[in-house]
Order: sequence, then C-alpha cells, then structure tokens
Amino acid sequence: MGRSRFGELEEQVVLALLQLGGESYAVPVAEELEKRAGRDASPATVYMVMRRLEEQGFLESRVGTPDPKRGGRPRRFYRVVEKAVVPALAESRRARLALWEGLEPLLEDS
Amino acid sequence: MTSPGERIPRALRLAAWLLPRDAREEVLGDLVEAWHAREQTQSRWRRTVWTLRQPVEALRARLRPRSRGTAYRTPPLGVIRGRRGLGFSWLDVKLGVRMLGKQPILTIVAGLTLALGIPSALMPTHAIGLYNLDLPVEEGDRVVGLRNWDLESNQPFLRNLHDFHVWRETLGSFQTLAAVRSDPWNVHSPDGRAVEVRGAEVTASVFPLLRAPPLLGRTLLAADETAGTADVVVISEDLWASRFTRDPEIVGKVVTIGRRPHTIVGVMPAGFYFPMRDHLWLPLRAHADDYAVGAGPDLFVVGRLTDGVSRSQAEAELRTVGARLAMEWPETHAGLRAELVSFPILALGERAAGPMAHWEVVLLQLFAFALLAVVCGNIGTLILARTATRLNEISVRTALGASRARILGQLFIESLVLATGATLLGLLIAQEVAVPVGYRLLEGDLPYWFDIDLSPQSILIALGVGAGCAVLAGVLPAMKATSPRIHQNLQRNTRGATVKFGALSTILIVTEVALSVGFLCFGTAAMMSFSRDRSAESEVAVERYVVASLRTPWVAPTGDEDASAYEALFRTRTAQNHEELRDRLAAHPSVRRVAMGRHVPGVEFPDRPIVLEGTGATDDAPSGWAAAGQVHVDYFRDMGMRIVQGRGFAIADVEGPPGAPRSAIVVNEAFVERVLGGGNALGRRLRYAVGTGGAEQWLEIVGVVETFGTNFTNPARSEALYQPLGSADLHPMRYIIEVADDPAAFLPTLRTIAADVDPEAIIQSAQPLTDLLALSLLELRAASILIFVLSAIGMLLAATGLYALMSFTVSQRTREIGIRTALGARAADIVKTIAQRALLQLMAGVALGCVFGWLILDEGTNDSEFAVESVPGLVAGVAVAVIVFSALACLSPTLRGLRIQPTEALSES
Repeated sequence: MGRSRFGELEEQVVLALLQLGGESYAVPVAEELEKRAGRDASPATVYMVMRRLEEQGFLESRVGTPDPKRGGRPRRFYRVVEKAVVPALAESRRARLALWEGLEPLLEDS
Repeated sequence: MTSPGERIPRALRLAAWLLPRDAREEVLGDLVEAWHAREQTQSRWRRTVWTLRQPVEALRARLRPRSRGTAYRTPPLGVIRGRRGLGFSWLDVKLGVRMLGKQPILTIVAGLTLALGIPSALMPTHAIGLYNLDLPVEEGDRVVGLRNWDLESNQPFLRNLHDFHVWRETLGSFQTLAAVRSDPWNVHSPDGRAVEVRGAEVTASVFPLLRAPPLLGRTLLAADETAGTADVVVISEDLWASRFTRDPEIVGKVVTIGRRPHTIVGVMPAGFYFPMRDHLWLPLRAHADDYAVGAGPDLFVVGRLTDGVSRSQAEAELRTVGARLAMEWPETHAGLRAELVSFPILALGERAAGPMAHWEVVLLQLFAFALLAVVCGNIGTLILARTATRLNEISVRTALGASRARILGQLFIESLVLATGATLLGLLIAQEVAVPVGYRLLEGDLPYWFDIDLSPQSILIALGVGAGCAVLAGVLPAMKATSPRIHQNLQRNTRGATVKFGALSTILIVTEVALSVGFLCFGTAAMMSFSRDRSAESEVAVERYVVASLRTPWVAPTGDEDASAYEALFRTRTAQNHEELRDRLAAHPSVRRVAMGRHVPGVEFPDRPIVLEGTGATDDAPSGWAAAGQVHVDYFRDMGMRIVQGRGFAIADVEGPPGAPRSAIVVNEAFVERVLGGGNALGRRLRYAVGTGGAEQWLEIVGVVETFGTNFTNPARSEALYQPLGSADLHPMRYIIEVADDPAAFLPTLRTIAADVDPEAIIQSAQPLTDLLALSLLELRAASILIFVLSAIGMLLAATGLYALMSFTVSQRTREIGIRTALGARAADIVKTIAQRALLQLMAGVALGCVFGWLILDEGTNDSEFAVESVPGLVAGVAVAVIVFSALACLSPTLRGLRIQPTEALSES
C-alpha cells in the first residue's frame, strides 16, 4: 500500500474522479478540476498524477477501445480503489479542518 | 506515434514525447481530444496559447516527484550564479540580444543564412531517419522486419514462405511473427463498377502482433487461412466511411473483391493501414506445401520482439537459423543472408542500415556540413569585422579585470543567441513550408507510417548544429580579436593593433562568387526551360489523351492449377488481358486510337546517350542523346504513325524469352537528322553508352517513323528511338488512348471496360495526359526553383562577404582616409583604397564562375532537357547580375568611406 496522505494536486484529482462517479480518464478529470476548483491542469499532468496514484495503489486502470475522434488512440480509464483512498482522504480532511479550527473569522473579514 | 493525415500541432506531439514511452499514445490521444474540444469553446488565440503550454506542462509532470505534489524546482536553464570559469549569465544573453538589435543588417543577413543553411544541411540525416521510423502502433519500436538478403544480386529475396514457417517455429526471440503481402485489388460496387483499393493478404497473427484491436467486429482468425473456408475480409475505417457510409450493420455484409464475394468480418480503427496504405485485409492462404523452397509469393515477414530481448540478440538467433537453412537448402539459400531490419527498410526494399550502408547519404551529409562550414566561415568574417570595431571596448574590459575567457564567453553567447534564433526560425520554415511542400510533392501512395515532420530528435540535432555554428562563426573570430598580441600592441598604440582578413577569407569569397555564378546559370536555365508549358508546340493534341496502366495481379493458385505451371499461365493471361483491353478500347465509339508501351511518349521516355558504330564515338564521348522508349510491336500501327523508311516492328522482333537479346530498333526522322546527320539510316548500328544502364549490345535500325510527340517539355529536341515489346513482356502495361471528348470523363468507362476484360485486373494511374504532364513539369519546376533559390542564397552570401570586407576596410582605415582627404585626394582614389581588394575578389570569382556555368550548361543542353537559346548570352547576363548585386552591397561602405572628414580622423587619433 502507498502513502496515507496526498499532495494537493493528488487529492484534487482523486476528488474529481469521485465526482465523476469513481471512474474516468484524463480529459474529463482535467475539465472537472477546472470547473470545480478553477485549476487549469493539463491532461498530461492529470494523466501522470493518476499513473503515479495507480503505482501507489490508490487507483486501478484499464484501457478503453480505440476512438476515431482521437485518431484511433485508446483512452486509459482510472478507477478509485475506495479501500485505499477513503482513509487517506479522511486523514487529509481531518488535518485540514484541525488547522482551520478557529480561523474562520479570517474568511468572514475578507 | 501518430496517424498520418492527421494534422496534430507539433507542440502536442512534443508534449507526448516528453513523457514515458508507454504513456505517449494515450496522452497524445487525451491531448488531441482536449484540443478538439477547445475548438468549440475557445478563441483561436487562447487555443494556441494552451497548445504551446502543453510541452512545458508535460515536462513539469514528468519531473514531478513521486510524493507530496510539490513541483520539483530546477534552476532556470543555463543560469549558473557566480563568476567562476566562463561565468555565463542571463545578462550576457540580454547583451547578446541587444547587440543583434544594434547591428540589424548583420543580424538579418547572418540570421537568414543560418536559418536556411542549418535545416538544409540536416536534410540527409533527416532522410536517413525515415528508415528508422517506428510503426505507429503500441510499442512500435519492438516491431521489426525479418528477411533474406541476396548477396549476389544485392537485393532483398522475398520468396520466403518456407523460411517464414521455420522462423515461426524456431525463433524464441519473437513473441509473434506474421507474413504479409500488399497488392492492389478491385472492389466492385453493386452497380458493377470496379474501384482499385490497396489491400494486404496477411496471416491472422498480424493483428495481435501490432496490438491492433478492431473498431467493429473481429480481426482475422487462424482458421480463416485454411483453403476452402469462407472468404472473409477486414476493412479500414476509411473504406467503411467512404464506401459503406459508416453502416453500423456492416459486419456480415458481402463485398466482391476481384472475382470472389467476401464477407466483411471487421472494421479497423482510423489510422490503421498496415503495411503500406492498405484498406483491406484478407487471409493469406499461401501454404509452403504448395511451393518449392525459394518459390511462392513475395512476403514481408514482421515480428514483435519478446520482452527483454534486444535487437542484436534477436538478429544473432536469426542469423544462426539462417546459416542452418543455407546448409539445408543450399540451392536456393547459399547466397542469402538472414537479417533483421526496421520495418521501413523492409517495406522499401532498402539495404540494411549500418554505419556506411547508405554511404552516398553519408557523403552527401559530409558535403552539406562542409557547405555549412563555408557559410559559418562567411558569417565569421562578418562577426570578425564587427568585433574589430569593438577592440577598444574589449581592451577597457580587460583593463577592468575581465579575463580572456570571460570576454570569449560573452562573444560566444552573442553568436549563440544569433545561431539559436536562426535555428528556431529555420525549423519553423522547415515545418511550416518545406514539410507541407514535401507532402504535396510526394502525394500519392505514401506508406501510412511515413512521416517527414520534424521529430523532437531532429529539433535537438538542429539546435546542436546551431551551437556548433555559433562556435565556428563566433568563437574563432573572437579568439583572433582577443589575442594577447593585439592587446599588447593596443597598449603600445603601435601598428599591428588590429585584426586582419587573411587568405582564408579571400578564398571563401572567391569560391562563393564562383559557385553562385555557376549555379545561378544552371538555375536560370532550368527556370527558363520549365517555366512554361510547351506542349502546345507539339504536334500531338495532348488535351485529348488519357494514359493508364493495366496490372494483372499475381494470384496464388486456387488448387485446380498446378503451381509450377502457374507462371506460364500467368504470362498467357497477362498477354490476353493486354490485347483484349486494347482491342475493346479501340472498338469503343469514343476512342480514336489506343496504343501500348512501357513509357508514355513525350513525358516518360528516358534520355540515353548513344554510341554510333563506326563514328569513333565512345562511352565518354557519345554521338548524341535521344529519348529511348519501349513500345508494343503494334505501336506505330495503333498510333497511326507513318513509316518513312524500312519497316515497323514485327512479332519476330520480340520472339524468345523475356530478357533475350532483341536487336531491332526503329528511330524517328528527328533522330536521323540530328544524331545520324541525315542519309540512309537502315542497317546502321548503335548502342547505349555503357554505365548508363544500357547493355553493350548493338542495336540495328530497321525502320524510320515520322517524328510524333516524343518531347513535350522541349519539342525542339524530339530525337527518339523505339525498342519493341511483346504483349506478355510487361506488367503493368501502359496505355495511351486518344478520345473524342473530355479525357477525364472517359476514365470511368475505361475502368468498366477493364473490369469486364478481367475482374481482377487493376487499372492504375489513369489520368488525362495533361495531368501527367503537369505533374512532371511540377517536379522539374520545383527542382529548378530550389536550385535558383539556393544559388540566390549563395549570391547573397558572396555579397555579404564583400560587404563585410569593405566595412572592415573602412573601419580600419578611417584615419588614413581622413588624412588623405585632408591632403586633397580625389574621390576616385579613396574608392580605390576601399574597394580594390573587394573588386579583385569579385572579378576573380565571376571569371571562375563563368567558366563553371559554361561547363554546366554545355553539358545540360546536350541532354535535350534545357531549352536555352544562347549559352554565352545567359552566362554573361548572370555575371552582370552578380556584379551589379555585389556592387549594390558595397555601396553603403563606399559612401561611408567617402563621407569621412579629416576632423573625424583627427578625433580618432
């Protein structure tokens, strides 16, 4: 099993994947990141992040059928391994909330 | 990595290339999809910015560490803080850019020269790179070709059906092996029309080998290879779209290919056209049992290397098995060498790549680099002239403590900025202009894996060569300008406190002027000869002709034919097809005349040097040149050409097996007049000059025909000779057909008649003669424009060298010129001081160039391609143009010299 915590981009990619139903490929995930988090990530970046998450055991992948729209190139679909991802996300969220504790008024002021 | 035909921005390909090999295809697919999506939602500008950002993003993603998501920071490229060693900094780069802006003429001339020179010099390497292209399939670099090379004939030996079976059973270095043969096929519409489609007979293993799953249905199965099973076919996505309007129910439908109906069992995805540009895949049903060893169809054998096995290991195993087979089958395999080659080399039948396998390309590359070195030498001269004007600045910096290495470093960075900028501009020109023109010229049957786009490797090599040019053109002059001797003399303010133009620069300038005059003569002659369509001057109404070839495909015996007798049957069938098509066409009401041959007259007859018997002519000094074509024995009758003397061809002239000596030839009246010098031609003997592809065999003139359409590009040079062909001597056979109406409108009729003659026979390259003529002229015109442009660049270089020399002279002799002006020297004397050396170099170069140009044109006008009315006039015209152009380049430094005032000279002192 891989590490128990994500970097910021890794966390966002996993969350975007979950928002997309738990399985998708780089292009929709990049779009989801832009739509929800305003993060302009390249499909290449997202692909490489998901590939590394797979190596760490957080995701699994399969190759789709070739698509003429992509010049006959296949898509690689990544699926969230919930058993590994949920504890890591919970840990990440807990740490973040703990750090935010008592700081909410700062946001109200801004 | 990509499918040809698809125009994907280079930046996206580069982005994918920067990622791990096994991720490239998928990421490129993602990028292409995202790029297409942006077409709808983003402005063109934003989309371009997004595209250009992708390689940077890909590189960042690649360098991203495995944990935490914090981007890995590297220092910006090339910035090394501190001042040790050469101590480069961004400031040097900024200063370099500023210096370029201060000297715009030098920047433009040197920049454009390098921009054109560097990519041109790398063309041979780029061409060699085409032989090593990977197939655009998953892990395409692991797919290789296996073949036998015939050491005696120095050609590939492809009748390797038996070898294929042995290789497949014994070689452990390959996961899978497959055999393929690609051929054109006739695909018939329900309305009976036939269309030529390229298709391949393949073993079923080819699809798993290429890791190519179908888009619809299935690929071929091993069971499909068994004779007697149902005829099945897999089609390409293109064919599915164009012929079957993307019918979702296509699988199971029947299409007639050749003589037989075939059931479509699958559709391959877009971009898959293995092995060449094929649209059909049929099971290969050639079995070793049906053929003797070394017989059977020509096959390409491809294999995918087993994981962990290198190419050299696989080749060693293949060689061992090959040596065993040579002992087992000595009659056919003694002179064969089994070898492993890249797929392009296999498909193109080229020699295997080795260090010196393509020695002519290596030689060309060395020549190109030598030319580039000359270019750099010239730019170095310009930079030296500029550096000489900065001696004081260099001295001051030295006095302030800058080391020589530091000053050299800064001067190097200046030339590096120039060379890098020029290389990038050159690559842009190559990608956006040269590559599209290349595709246009090569358009036609290009293999699908053929890709002349610049690869990331080519870009890196070009940048490396650019850096080399910066060293040649920047560092060497800088070393000269910063030599300790010059600075000692500067300190003492004595003579010798200057740099000098040596003999090398004189040789460079004279050579460049000479070459530019010579090649400009050639380029101008070529432009004059091919710039206009001269076919209207010919006696043939070219706009009424159609040309086409009929190809009877070699089909494996179906079981009811004896394989050993198949070749004789095939010859008979070919001859029947050729004659029947001609006769049916001749009977068609739209056709005025139809004739057969190897070459289309007027366009395709090759020019050959002729040696006449009894004239003292030799191979080196032939009697003359003539267009030499091979035509069917009935050609003169069919074309309605009048026999002026003697006879036309007869069947007896072509009896005997193919390749047997045939001595009878017929010449035309122009040949009699210009090559023989008139008189009785009958019985005279001639041969082609040895070393030009001709045999030493003597040929005898048996007849003379009227001069009729033998040279459309230059009808003034129409001397031709004809050699006879029998109906079975040639496949494909070329047809030339005169029609009453529009030739283009006759093409469908031609195909229908041909399909009626033999459903498997293919009509190839059918087109109006005017189209063929336009294409041949397009190639000649493109070549002549290229020569002209290169010569013009040479002239620009030469003029630049002269400009540099004169500018340098004026800078160095400012004080002398000022004093002489004060003493009352005339303007003419001042001009002489400044321009004497440059003028001498110019005149020497022009004189040499005129001799060179004369020699080239004298040779060129002999081979009947050039239409130049007066060689001396043309050479003189080019010489005058070069002198005027060079004089214009020298005008500015001359005027600067004339404007020097005595006060200016005094202030310099």
